[in-house]
Amino acid sequence: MDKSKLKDITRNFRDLPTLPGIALQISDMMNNPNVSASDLAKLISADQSLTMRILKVANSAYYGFPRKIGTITLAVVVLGFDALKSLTLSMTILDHLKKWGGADGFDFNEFWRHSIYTAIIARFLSRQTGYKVAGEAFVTGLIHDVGKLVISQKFPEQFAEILETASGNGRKVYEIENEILGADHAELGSWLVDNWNLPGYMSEAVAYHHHPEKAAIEIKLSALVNTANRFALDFGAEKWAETYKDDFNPYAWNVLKMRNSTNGGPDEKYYRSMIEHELEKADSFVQVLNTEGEAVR
Amino acid sequence: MMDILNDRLERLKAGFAGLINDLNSQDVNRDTIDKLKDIWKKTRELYKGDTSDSLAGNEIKELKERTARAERAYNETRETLNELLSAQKLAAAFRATYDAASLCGLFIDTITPMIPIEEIGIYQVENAHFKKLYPAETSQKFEELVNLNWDEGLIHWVLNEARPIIVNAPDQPVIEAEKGCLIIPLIIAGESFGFILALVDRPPKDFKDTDFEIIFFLASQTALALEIARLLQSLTETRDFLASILENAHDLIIVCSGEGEIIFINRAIENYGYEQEQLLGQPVINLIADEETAEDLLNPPEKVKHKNIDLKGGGKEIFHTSATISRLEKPEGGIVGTLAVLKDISKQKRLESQLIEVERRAAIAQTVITINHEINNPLAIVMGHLYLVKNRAVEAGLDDIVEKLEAMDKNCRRIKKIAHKLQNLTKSDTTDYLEGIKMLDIKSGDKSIEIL
Ligand SMILES: [Fe+2]
Ligand SMILES: [Fe+2]
Repeated sequence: MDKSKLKDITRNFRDLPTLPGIALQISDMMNNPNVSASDLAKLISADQSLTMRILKVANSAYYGFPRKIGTITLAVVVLGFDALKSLTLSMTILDHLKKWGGADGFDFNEFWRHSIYTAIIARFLSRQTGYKVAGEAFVTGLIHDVGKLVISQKFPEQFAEILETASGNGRKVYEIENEILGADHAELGSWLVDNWNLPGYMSEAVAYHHHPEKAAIEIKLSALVNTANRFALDFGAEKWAETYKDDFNPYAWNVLKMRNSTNGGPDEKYYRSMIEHELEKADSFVQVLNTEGEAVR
Repeated sequence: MMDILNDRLERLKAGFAGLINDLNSQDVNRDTIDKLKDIWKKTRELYKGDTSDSLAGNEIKELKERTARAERAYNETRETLNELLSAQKLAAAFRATYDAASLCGLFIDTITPMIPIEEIGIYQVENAHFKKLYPAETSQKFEELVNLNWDEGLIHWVLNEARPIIVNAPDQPVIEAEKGCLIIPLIIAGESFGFILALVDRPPKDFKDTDFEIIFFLASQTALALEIARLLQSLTETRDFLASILENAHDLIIVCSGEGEIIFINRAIENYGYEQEQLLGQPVINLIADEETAEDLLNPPEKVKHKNIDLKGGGKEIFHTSATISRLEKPEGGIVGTLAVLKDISKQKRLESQLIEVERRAAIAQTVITINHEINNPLAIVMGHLYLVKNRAVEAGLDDIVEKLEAMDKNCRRIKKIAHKLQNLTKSDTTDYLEGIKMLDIKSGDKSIEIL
């Protein structure tokens, strides 16, 4: 696709619905450490359905808190500011994306599963590798493939073409996207994230989630999402699997200082068993995240 | 068009460079960042998302990256500054003490101005039990609060999560709680080894993200200081214990440098007539009586066991010792010194010679009995008959025979006297009989004997 078409993509972008106000407020709060528990609680409590779902998640087995969490304030001080901010942002983004739906051939459920798995694994890996803000990793993991949604929505014809090309051979989907569209889902996704005015680290990590070695600032976050994405492909979501499973990116693996096996390469096994356990634990959490929004609405 | 754009871009860049300068001169404040963001937004509007791979596109990208970098740096610096300020006092105070109670007290003094604390306790968790480290006295009510949180599993949850939390104090209403219960894990190298629990006089809803960060940071510093204090104490105890074992060992322990100087010697050396201090730094060879054995002490081939080494005592007497000598080697090879453990066997040697003497005396005693029995009795008979024969000879006037019989009698009495002397022998002293052959010295055999 030539440059004029690329511009079309950009222009069309603006027609996409913007994020609801609460997401933007949360996004602002993400960089402000002077937020009190009641500030955050007030913001969340303004949305009834969100409040109920967050309390449900907070009381889920995933967090395993021994007492009942009855108020958002308690959820904030118990689960942590970082977790609550990212949880709220994730839920509003999820609700927002759900409203879009997808084009024919776009398996929305698989997209969800892959996104949520990547988010949970990114959160898990951020703890494992000492990345300070697990919540950043979670949200970024959740929206990393949002560009695919854009392609299916705004370019259904090209989307079908991409799917067809990809199914025949074992080529990387993002290469095919680049050929057909002139940009891949990672780049498109980062434009959208920018457009939503979400924190800059998210757009950069989304942009480079298949090429963490190209990231300039958010090197660690890009590496986290890259590795989490690769692990997520091992757990279900076969249809979603980006047709061609890359090897683990050695650059990302090294950036994160993750464990190597005795014969040199990445020690995938070591992490995979823990991730399996983490995803099982997160099951209750995923259910609330996934279905409750619609039920309440 | 492109020229105008480039001109404006240049101006924006100049402004940006000024701001970067501000950043470098450390006058960073929220203002600077806002200005940076403003510039980035203006730049973006200028190009209306036209980020095709023109020169301008790259410039925008670079601007954006530098803004993001500056913002991050600013946030990190501010955070670090906040933390550093409150931690500075604590860290300085920590350097002055290794006493666990003082460390806990310091933490509480530091945190009190930030959070109104009603009551606080610092606890250690070991083998699924908790034990109070500080303070000595807490109220009954507070103890109950700690037990409640422990039994409910709240404390375990915090230890697992490795993150401080605040919950409503038990007697407070759910919504508008005025007091909170703050639980902070104490973590070293990712492992929780204790917790701090505080009843705070501030509503949980008023806690900020930064509050938790600072509390956690201070608690981590305290955890580190406590762990260092604990390690230091156990290290001191172990060292004292080992030193006292070395010092009070019955055997003589000497450590020599590679040059053969004494660098350690334990108190057992006093039994050899020396003071510890007078020997430190001296060549070990001064202690050795037999120079031939010195080599074993200075450069043992490998481990030497039960080697006889004679030492010169402080009063010039000789001590016989049995030595075990080890090489002290550098990891990369080569000798740095020797360690010798010497057992004084002088007494043993003395006992050995005493034993031999006792055995000799027993042999002599048996000889004496034999002599009494086998010589004295026939001798008495011989002497009796001799007396009768001599009387007959005198009656018959056989003077030459009487003379001979008297000589026989005289020698018989001599034999009797020798036998008597042997009976009184106390020592196995000998005199030379012939060259290489010894004979008992019975001249000294006039002392009492207790062998039998
Ligand atoms: Fe992707
Ligand atoms: Fe993906």
